[in-house]
Amino acid sequence: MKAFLLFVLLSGLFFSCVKDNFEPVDQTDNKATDVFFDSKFDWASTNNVEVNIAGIPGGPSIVTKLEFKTLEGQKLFEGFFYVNENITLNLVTLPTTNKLVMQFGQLTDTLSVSNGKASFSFVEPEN
Amino acid sequence: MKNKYFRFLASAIILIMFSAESKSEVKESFENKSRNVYIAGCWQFISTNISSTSPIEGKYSVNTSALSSLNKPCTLVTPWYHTDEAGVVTFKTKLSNYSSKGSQIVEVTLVQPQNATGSNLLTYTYKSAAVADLSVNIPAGTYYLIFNWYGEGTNYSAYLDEVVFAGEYFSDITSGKGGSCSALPEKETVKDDDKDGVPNDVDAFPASPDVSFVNYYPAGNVFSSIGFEDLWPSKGDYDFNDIVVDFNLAFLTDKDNNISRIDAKVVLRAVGASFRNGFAFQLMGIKPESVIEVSGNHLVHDIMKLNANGTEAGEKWLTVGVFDNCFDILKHPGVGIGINTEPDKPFVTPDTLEVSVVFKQNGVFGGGLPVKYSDLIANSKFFNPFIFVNGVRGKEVHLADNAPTDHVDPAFLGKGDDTSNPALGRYYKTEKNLPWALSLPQSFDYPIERVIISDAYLNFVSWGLSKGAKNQDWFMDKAGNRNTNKIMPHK
Repeated sequence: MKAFLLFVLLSGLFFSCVKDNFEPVDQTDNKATDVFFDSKFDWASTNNVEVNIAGIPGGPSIVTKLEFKTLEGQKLFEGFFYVNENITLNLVTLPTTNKLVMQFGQLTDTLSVSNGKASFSFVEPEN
Repeated sequence: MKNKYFRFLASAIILIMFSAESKSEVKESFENKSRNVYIAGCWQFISTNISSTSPIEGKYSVNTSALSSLNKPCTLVTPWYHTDEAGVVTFKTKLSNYSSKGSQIVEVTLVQPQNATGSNLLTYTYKSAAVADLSVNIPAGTYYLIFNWYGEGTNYSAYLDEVVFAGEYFSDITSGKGGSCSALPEKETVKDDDKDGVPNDVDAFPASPDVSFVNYYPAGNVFSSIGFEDLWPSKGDYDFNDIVVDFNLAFLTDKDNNISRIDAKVVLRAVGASFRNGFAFQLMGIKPESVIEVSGNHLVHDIMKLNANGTEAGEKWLTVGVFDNCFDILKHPGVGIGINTEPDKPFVTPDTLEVSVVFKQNGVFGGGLPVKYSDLIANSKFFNPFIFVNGVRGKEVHLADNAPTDHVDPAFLGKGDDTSNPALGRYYKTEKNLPWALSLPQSFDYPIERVIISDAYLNFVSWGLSKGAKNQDWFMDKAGNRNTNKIMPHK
């Protein structure tokens, strides 16, 4: 009886140490109702890009049109803004949008989108 | 006597105000240590800089390099200014040191659009190291000045500070930097028919002072879609076609970027259910009293109680009902489960509802409460669309993690398959975190009746499992994305 119990115990230890040979299941083949999604995911199909424009500190109060478009020319925003003010905008874009075309008065510039942010400054950084 | 005295005083104040206005001037004290700030403001520095070594006033002045050449000047070029009448430009200047062995001079040249070579206004020879208060006369018109310093015999430098220009700043900062800036267009050449301060050439509505710009959500000439499941708080069949609406919002803004009007185009494209559902949207951050009038919607069943201005009563944030019974908008063809969700059933052509929300009329804002468009969109969840199910106002279905309105019946939240938890900001998700509604940045080719979305859109699960990082274009008509046999043909 003791030998049998010992056999059962050792067998249990042995099998508990055997590595599972299951291949990971590709959940992407499953139906949407079969899998767990991340609790923080909000299912948004668009991105929000925070655009920061640094104006000229103490500069003149010149107001002019500010416009943002995608590289494909789709208009995202337009308004009338002072060039001496700091401006923050939150633009809705496609997740694949990684460049924004800014037109501020006569100035045209292409801003790169990185980690949901894009920025521009009238003042060049000091060397 | 007192009356006469006050009348005189009032007249004097008005006179002072007007004379101050007509004699505009701009003072530059160079109190920003960064030369690049001035270069961005259209100043040009050649062998000159901003220095704190020996400022004339404040902490900083313009400082030249050593004045050791009579041929190669140190130069400061100002931006453009404009004065309607002849005036004076004053400034303070000094040398870092003075010796009679040397000779240092400053020349001031006036440049006007009609005289690009410029004309000399002043040649001043420094006679000591003391500060000299100098001035030059300026004719009416647009101008800039060139300060040139020359010297020989010593290595002393010169300083400049407290320059007061006649007129107003007139450089177009957006046209370039430093010396490459152009002047703003002359005022008399700028056409502004509605006199709202926005020139005709950039004013989308040049004849209307209340509106100048148009901002579209999601973008110009683009319709977004939302597909809803309507069995909340129970799970549905996940075909996301119980209600499918396309929408485009046009935010018309004025010269101050305040919203004057919202024109919402809403197209009810499909009803994959038998419930008499309604559709509405809330704009987070806008108070209902900001609105003057709502029009163009179809609310006839007294499900939403409205304020006099057409917004929903009893809501903290502006809530606009679009329709309160989907079958009023899209007529059932007489066969099939719903409308436009089964390919073999008759197609019903959708109508477009054009809902207008007016915030500003004849220069006056509703409730005196202007709303800046940029402030509205600062909240990434500002647009909060929802359906209310089968005539029950409190049974709302929103996008995942969008909060319900004040009219939601809290008894539904967290019940059935719903795991909403307001304390965590979690709304409208199942235990497995599936939503009850999906929003797409294009018109949704929704699944056929009772086809689960992942059978129609083959990369939907991959997109969801990657939290949106992979297959971001899962909804687009691209190779490998769709099983077209399970998607309702787009008509």
